[in-house]
Amino acid sequence: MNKLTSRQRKLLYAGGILLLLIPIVWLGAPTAEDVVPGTQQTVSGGKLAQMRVAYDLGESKLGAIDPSSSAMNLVLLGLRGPAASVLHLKALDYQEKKDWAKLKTTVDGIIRLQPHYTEIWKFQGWNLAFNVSREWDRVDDRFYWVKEGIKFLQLGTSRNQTATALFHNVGDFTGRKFGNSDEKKFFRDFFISDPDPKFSGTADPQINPQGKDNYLVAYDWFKITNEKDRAYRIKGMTHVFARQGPSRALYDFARARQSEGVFGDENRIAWENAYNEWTDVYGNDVFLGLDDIRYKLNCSEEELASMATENQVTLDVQRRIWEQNVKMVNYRFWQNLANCERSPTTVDAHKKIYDGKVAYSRAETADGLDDQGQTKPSKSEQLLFEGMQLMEKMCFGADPEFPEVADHDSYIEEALLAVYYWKKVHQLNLRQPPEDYPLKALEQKEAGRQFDIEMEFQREHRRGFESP
Amino acid sequence: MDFDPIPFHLSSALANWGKLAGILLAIGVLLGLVGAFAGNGNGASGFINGFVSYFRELLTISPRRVLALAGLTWKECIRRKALLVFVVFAVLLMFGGWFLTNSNSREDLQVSVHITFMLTTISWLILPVAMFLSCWGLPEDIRIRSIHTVVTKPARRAEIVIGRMLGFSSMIIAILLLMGFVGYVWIERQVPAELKGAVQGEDGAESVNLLACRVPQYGFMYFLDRDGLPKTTGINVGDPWLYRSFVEGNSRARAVWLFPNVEPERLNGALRIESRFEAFRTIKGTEASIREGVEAQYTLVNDPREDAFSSFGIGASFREIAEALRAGNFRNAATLMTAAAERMAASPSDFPPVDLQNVSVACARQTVAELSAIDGLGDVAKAFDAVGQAAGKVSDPGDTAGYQAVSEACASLGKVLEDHSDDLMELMPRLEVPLDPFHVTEYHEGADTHTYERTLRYAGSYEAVARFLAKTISKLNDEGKLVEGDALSSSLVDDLEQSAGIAAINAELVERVLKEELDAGKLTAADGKLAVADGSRWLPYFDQLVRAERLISQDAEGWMLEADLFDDLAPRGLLRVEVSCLDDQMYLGMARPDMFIRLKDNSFWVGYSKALLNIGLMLALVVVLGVTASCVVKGPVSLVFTLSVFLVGQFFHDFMQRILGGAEKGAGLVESAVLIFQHRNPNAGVDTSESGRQVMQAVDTGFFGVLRLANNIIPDFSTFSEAAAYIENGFDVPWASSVLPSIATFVGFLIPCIMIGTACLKFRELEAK
Repeated sequence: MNKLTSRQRKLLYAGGILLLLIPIVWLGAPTAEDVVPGTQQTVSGGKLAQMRVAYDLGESKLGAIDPSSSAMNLVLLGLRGPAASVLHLKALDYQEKKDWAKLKTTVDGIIRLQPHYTEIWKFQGWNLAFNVSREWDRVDDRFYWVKEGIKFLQLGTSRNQTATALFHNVGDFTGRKFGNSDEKKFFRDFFISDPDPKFSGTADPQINPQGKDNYLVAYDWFKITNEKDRAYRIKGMTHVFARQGPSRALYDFARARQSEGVFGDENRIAWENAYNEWTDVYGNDVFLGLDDIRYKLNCSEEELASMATENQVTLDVQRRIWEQNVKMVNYRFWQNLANCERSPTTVDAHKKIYDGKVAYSRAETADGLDDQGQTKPSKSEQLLFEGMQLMEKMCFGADPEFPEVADHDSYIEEALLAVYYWKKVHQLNLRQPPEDYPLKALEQKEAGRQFDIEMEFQREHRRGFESP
Repeated sequence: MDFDPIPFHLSSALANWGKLAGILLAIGVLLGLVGAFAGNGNGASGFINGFVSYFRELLTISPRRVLALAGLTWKECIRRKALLVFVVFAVLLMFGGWFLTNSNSREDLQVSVHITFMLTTISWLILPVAMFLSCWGLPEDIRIRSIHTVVTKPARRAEIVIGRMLGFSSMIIAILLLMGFVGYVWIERQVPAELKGAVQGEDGAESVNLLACRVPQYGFMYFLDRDGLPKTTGINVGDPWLYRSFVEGNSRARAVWLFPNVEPERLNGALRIESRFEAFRTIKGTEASIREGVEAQYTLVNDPREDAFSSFGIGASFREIAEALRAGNFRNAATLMTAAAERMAASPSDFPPVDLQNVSVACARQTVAELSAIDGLGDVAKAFDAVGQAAGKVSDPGDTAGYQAVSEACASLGKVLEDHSDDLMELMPRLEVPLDPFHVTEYHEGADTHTYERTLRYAGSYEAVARFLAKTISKLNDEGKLVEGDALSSSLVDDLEQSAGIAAINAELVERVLKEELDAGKLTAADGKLAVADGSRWLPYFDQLVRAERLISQDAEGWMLEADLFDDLAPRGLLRVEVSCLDDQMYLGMARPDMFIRLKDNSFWVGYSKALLNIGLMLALVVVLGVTASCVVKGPVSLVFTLSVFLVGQFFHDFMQRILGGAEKGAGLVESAVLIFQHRNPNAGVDTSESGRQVMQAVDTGFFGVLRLANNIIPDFSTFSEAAAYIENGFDVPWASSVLPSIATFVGFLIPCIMIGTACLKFRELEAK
């Protein structure tokens, strides 16, 4: 029998409680201050709190906490894994049976159960934007599901501030999916003027709050990605490639505008920005190469020597690492391309050739007569000829401004196509082209491409041209 | 959505139920006998006494006592705090939004999510309450001996069982009704007004009401392939989900639906067709196509020739004749039939017996019946019948006499066809009304709904134009408006315009052609009437003129004709709708429920209450099973039993049926186990001797027997939950394929459960051990 009195027992219990509180407080005390994710390496507080910060394990450190997610995990006790697996299977079944509403709800359920499992965000974001969207036939429906995929990833970024790859994916989808799809003409328009009546002809604020071009929004996301990358290095991607995002988005933007018939200063400035981003920002970023040797792509001889000293390696080793990476990312090619494109000569050359093709497609090809009654070449012929002259001046002539891009396929094709159009105009007017004309040397040198050029001519002719 | 509503056949279900109930009763009697003889030694007299008193109890149930016991059950439920389930329900409703809002920002997709959430919440919240109450009620009464206060009163065991079932069920139903009402209000509040058809757009049209319960009338479906031949399925485009079959664009391929009971009263005088097709592209398509979607077209067809002769050519040796009959080339068909008769007499081996059997079946099931239904074609029907009868007797290639008889019947049919070719042409018109094409809207429920008025205007085909002109000219001729003296009437153009609604430019064309024909001596005018010089009828005459392209419409619209939806296109209430894809290199996917005639919508609460009724029946059945089990075993065992039966019935019943029906690939239990052990697949089979395989299969047959028994005695709970799928997708819950099977399932299990429960409670000792 217990010989202790009631009071003694109570005191004993209180003592036990106090004794147990000591390790609990030591282990479990929360941090003494609000910790902004990624800003501190150590904090005051219990052992567990310190370890959470040290090993990036705290949920608050990962991103915004979803109360419903926490509630669901609490309710499920230890069965979160099986529940998530069942939901994954159901999601697959709904997708196969094209029950899109239930698929989306199930996916939402999965991410509530596993909000910090980055691969799920990546997989389902891709699934919605690429796989589900293509199941729909009408372009506005497809656009809706691409947006759903991107919004899903955006939510993923808010819940997982340390998952840099998710930020990269948002930028990638915003740029690539909207800009490279078969439906890019519609997608790029819809990105600025959403077809959903509730947005009254403006952009969907959730993915494009400022109503910008999709590539410029992608640029913003890639910039954030690079910022994040400094704190939480991106996983699963070669670092030097991952950091290209912003500049490549600007390249894509400038090129897309060109293909839509936008030239002049607007396009030249776009290329200028792309060039600056590539050389001044990306080129001056410091990366870690083989054996953790630091290097940057835009490097002068002096900088190379100084970095060799800094890395405590020989100049040869430093140079080898640097050259390997410059070659790997094709750094000089993109630099030369943007350098050429930002020049007024290049912009003029593109514009003349484009306008010449537009004139051709509008049948402005018949010779006319000038005031003196002399034969006057058609508008199309005139523009194409001027474009050919500028191309020669740009990179294919005797003393070109940018000889380093003369072997660039897209320039060669553009030049040869201009000549092809120009000859077609002559043919329509039942005239032989003159003996000598700009780009003739290039035409002879690249005679093997003639068939491809003819095919491209047919394609363009069928497709028509955008009116800027 | 993939459900395919199939009507429930009550009579065959009743027959099955009768068989099973009989077997169970026999087993019960057998067990009673064994118990009587093995138990206290009373033997036969004990069995008879027990048997008589058992059935007397069942047949003398007092409703008053049952209701009193049900009332006691209610009190017990309340005492056990069953109503606390409302608290959980309220919490879920308050926080359900966390899980649902923003999950789909597109509101039309949200509607089904809200309905699913509500119905799932209601059923899954009440289910555990129903299980716990029903399984623990009686055992607890027995344990604390409060049952003695009941059984010592003049209450029979059957009344206790029924009273318990009624009490728990009515309590559960009351909870369900209250939750259902709150849920209804919740759904109504969650769905925005513009999705309930209450908001008018800028064009004044009401928005689509996604909360309406559509009432579909489904049809029968088959496909026509790119050559126009009937097929049960279309093209497989590689979609792993084989629910839909595809028709090729810009080809003769069609999906054909046959809708019965198409009558003006049922359809309110107009035809409303709703479809949800799936598009599949092999190329990107034009910009317009990318923007607006793939284009489809409905064609309404009334084709008695197709109805009569589509099966006649199943056998290859009669295919050419069938094609001529279907195309309306009856003279050609007559010639071909005569030639076939001669060839059959000379060379019977050209006509395999299987072809003759097919002809016999086609005549018996289709051709003769269809022809007999048309006045004036009795002789033709008889001739086909004779061919069918004779052909049905030939099963041996060496049956010369049989072939001779078929040959003679065919020769006679050829003669009849020749003699009646004009009658056939006149009495078997093919009417084809192509409706306006539309762009397919994928996965937007209710978006592709089109309404067609009773009178349809359409551009006539050659045959339709010839029939129209023959009818018009014949009518004017009868009225004496066609001829003045020996020339055409000077007011003919006006008459054609006014009486037949022909465009002026086409009326002039008709007059000009008739005049040329009159001048050429192909027509004659005498006694104020116009006639064809060779004495033929107007229809073949105009048919030949139209096919010679002498009456090509001068009006850009074409020959615009009118057809009555009910009188011309569905004269016997059967409407045929053909669906084609108009875009080249595109495909349209369809399944039977993908197109239906949409009857008048019901309001949402109608479908919702039917779904609640199904949930109520499901919960009541759980109660019935729980109470029955609790009559014989203790609470926990009863709960595990009821839960197991429910889980198997809800999630695995379909699987069991697929195994038993052979739809599920794989072998029996033992064979599968050996296959797994041997790392072999079912196609390769078990690596064993023939006798070993036979042993395994014999053992597996036993397991299949157990599975068949389980399939029969475990209720299919998915029958009840399927009702929710209808209203989640905006449909009314159909009586025949959802509500009736639920009621039948419930009643089918209720009766044996009462009998088993009563027997168990009667013959057991009411003491907890």
